[in-house]
Amino acid sequence: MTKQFSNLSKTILNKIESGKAKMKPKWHFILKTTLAVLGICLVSLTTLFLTSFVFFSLRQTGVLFAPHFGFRGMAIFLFSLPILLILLSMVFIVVLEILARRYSFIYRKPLLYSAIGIIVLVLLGGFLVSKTRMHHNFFESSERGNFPIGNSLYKDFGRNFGMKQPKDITLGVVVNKMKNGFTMENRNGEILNVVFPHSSPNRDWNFNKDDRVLIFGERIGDNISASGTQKMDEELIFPRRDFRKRR
Amino acid sequence: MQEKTDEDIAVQVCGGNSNAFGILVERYERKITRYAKRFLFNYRNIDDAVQDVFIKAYINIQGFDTNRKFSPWIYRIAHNEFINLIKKTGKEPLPLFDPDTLFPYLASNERTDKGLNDQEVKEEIEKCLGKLSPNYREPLVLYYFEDMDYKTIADVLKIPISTVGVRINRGKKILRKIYDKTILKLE
Repeated sequence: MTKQFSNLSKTILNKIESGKAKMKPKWHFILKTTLAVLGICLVSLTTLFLTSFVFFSLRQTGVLFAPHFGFRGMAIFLFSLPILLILLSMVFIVVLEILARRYSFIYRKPLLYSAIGIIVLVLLGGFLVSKTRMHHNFFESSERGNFPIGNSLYKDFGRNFGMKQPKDITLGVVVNKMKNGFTMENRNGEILNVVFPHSSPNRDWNFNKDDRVLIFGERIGDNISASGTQKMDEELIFPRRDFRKRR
Repeated sequence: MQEKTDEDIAVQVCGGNSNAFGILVERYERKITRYAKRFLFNYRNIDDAVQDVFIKAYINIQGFDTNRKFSPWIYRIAHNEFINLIKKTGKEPLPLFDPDTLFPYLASNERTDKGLNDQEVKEEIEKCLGKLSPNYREPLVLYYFEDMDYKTIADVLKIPISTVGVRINRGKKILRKIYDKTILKLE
């Protein structure tokens, strides 16, 4: 050991003894780690909430099912996406990636892998959460005015956040069957006449009263010329009790 | 006392034995100074920077996870300290985001023939240190002079393991060009 090394050791030990260098207590690091974990949990939950809300809104407005109706449906799907909510979710995903990179199992992998992993988890989690009743309950509470924070978000399924209700997609419940179509009631309580033009490939429709249906076609006034239909079987789409209360 | 591992001594320091920290300083002083002299080539106040590394290590030692190796932990503190010095002096630009960390690379596996041409590469690094950017200089110094493997370097720099390989390979190529030019000029 040379003299120079001993000098550095002595200098540092002197600083420690004189109190110029003070060890941070253990709780400081425990608090820091706890806050980091809490931050990751909070950002993860917020991202999951936003993503599931996007899926919920897309399903409730029928936009999620638009691609079933060909290229036009796909175009409607892309143009009706809630861009603001998607951008906000992306910002949270970036924050999540930054927070998670403090852990070796994340930073040792290329950014692309961890980013894809986080995006897949968020999308999968968001989709699964959107299948639960959580957003329905929040939506109903906000409609009753019991969820003041959520009012702005849930109003017309995220309309304030860039969600659009496409003109060519209508969701409703079959009220009456007619010779060349049927009447249906949409969420706003409007009675609409659905007719199938001769060129429609869906002329052999077979819906019953109270069936929940999605109609793809141009709406003029209270009439819809349907170029595509889909029966909605999912229990969580378009809560029936809202209709029953109104009728 | 000398036979104890670094991690054992760190536990003693955490338990209040401040003098034990002196042993850690003596064990790492040469290594950190060597790392500083090569990474902070052309910089002043290297001794102060090294001293600050040990002071910061003492201040934060309760945050050291004793189940892990002490060496990458103190090198990480040194890396942060030296990067701060580079930023402070503003002599060399440091990118905010490095695209090398984004993609996986195939040609970045650790060499199995390490040692064959090491002396040659070391000489090239020594002669051209100041001409390499910090991004390439640091992994080369850690790999060839501090004898670290890719995984340890990844832990010190907090970058993907494949990026360490890419930087070392690219660094060597740049180094060879600089070295060849220098030799041509001399001839």
